[in-house]
Amino acid sequence: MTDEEYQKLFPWTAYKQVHTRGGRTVRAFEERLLPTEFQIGTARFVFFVQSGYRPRYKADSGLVLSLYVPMYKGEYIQTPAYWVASTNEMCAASTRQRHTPMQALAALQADLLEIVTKGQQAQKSYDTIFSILGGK
Amino acid sequence: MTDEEYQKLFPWDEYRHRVSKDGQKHLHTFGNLTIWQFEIGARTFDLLPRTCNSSSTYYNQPSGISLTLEYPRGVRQPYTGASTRIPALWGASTKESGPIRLRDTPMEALHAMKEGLLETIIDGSRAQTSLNVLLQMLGEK
Repeated sequence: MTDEEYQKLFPWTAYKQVHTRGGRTVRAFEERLLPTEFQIGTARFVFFVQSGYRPRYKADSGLVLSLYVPMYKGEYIQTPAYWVASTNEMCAASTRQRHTPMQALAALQADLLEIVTKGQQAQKSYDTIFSILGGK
Repeated sequence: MTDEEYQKLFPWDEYRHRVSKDGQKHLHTFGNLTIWQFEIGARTFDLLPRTCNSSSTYYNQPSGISLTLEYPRGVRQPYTGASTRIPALWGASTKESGPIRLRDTPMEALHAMKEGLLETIIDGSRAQTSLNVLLQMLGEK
């Protein structure tokens, strides 16, 4: 996805041209253009915390969307910024970087399904061990 | 657990006493396993062919539960090439999951594995709740 395509989809995550200390021209993330909230599906994501240059949006259900902006030589740059989705309980549930919030949510869905499947398999093994140990 | 207590519980798990090169230290060297299978709770664990250069011995159960006898890394005796362990440690694992938690006896390893599985089950249950919320949000449920 190019910067232009990204900007078209998410006009509120704007970029500006800046010059680094080394004289290099880079595209820097424009913080002040971040929205305070946005809607995806039935959920409203509201800005709730910023750690470093990573604004986080949270829905009432506990779903979290974080926008990551990596640094280059002490300055924040990203072409384009990437999104990571997580849940209340499992903050590291999904570390898959995606171009859009929707894609991040889809990645989270895949991660959650993987954890659910592992849990179901673990239940079978648990039952077996339980019976080996004589119900102890 | 002392060597003697361990030997009493698992008499087929043999140790040999050796004298080190300097002639002073008496080392306990793990011997060859002579048992091909054993039972815990009416389940038979069968010895798997040992992998070349492996520092572990594996016992498998048809249900998918494995017991592993672990030799420590980096403590092979230079003069015999044998591993030293006082006593050997057991790990339990399953087909699908996880970290082997080392314990003194096979039973303890199974108990530790049971705890580990319980954690995975709880994680799965929480993930199911979040997944339901996510699907509902995206209008897929």
